[in-house]
Amino acid sequence: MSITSLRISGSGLTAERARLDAISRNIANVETTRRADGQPGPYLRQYVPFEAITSENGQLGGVKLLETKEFSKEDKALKEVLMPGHRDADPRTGILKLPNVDIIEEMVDMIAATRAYEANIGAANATKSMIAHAIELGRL
Amino acid sequence: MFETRTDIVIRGALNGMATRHRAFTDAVANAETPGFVPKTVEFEEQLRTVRDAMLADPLNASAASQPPLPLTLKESAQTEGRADGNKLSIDQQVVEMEINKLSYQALTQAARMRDEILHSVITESPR
Repeated sequence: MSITSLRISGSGLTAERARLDAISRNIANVETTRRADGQPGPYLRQYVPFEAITSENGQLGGVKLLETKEFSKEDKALKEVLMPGHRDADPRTGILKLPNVDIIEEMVDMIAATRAYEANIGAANATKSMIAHAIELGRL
Repeated sequence: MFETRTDIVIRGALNGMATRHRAFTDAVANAETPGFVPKTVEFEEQLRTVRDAMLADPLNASAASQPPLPLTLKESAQTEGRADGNKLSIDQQVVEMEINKLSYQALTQAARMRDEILHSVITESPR
């Protein structure tokens, strides 16, 4: 019994935490109408893509986090509201573009990420228990 | 010196179950990875072959003559999959992981009891 299984569960925990971080950022910025550089423009929904790790000899290695990406305006349409007085609204039309974040979608994603996180904890506990039993073999 | 056929089989089974557990943890870690297909580890048939070979040729049944158990890692066909191509059924995976864990614990318990018997025979024998 090796601790590689624990490392695999660790990679799953890291991945799910990163996903929860992205969800939290999305929820926090649900009404943000300026980009990080201070320029007018709605916040774009972020997500963290995952990729399975498999070594050349076919060994299983858990999950790898890829670079955080944004859903573009084309991928997911922005919401538009008429707010002529808003500083970031279009001066001609008075239309304000809001982030393409759907709070319900984020909440559902958050539940799924939390469940996946818990499943990884369960897997790590199972590994710990098996390692403890393997260690017991050496005691008389 | 004291390794018997049973010990060799127990060791092979423990290794097989440990690798199987690794496949389960990998599947759980990839629960949300698009396109992920879970793997299963099969070792029972190989273990049976090793055991039969030892029974057929008892004189050649030492640990040194036994190669590492060849494990088969193949893609599991347990569900139709989700829209993102992930074919993992997390519930089924967790249940199978628990079954594997209990089997592993039962086997380590059995191996420990065998060791205790051997220990008793050595230490309690009349001098």
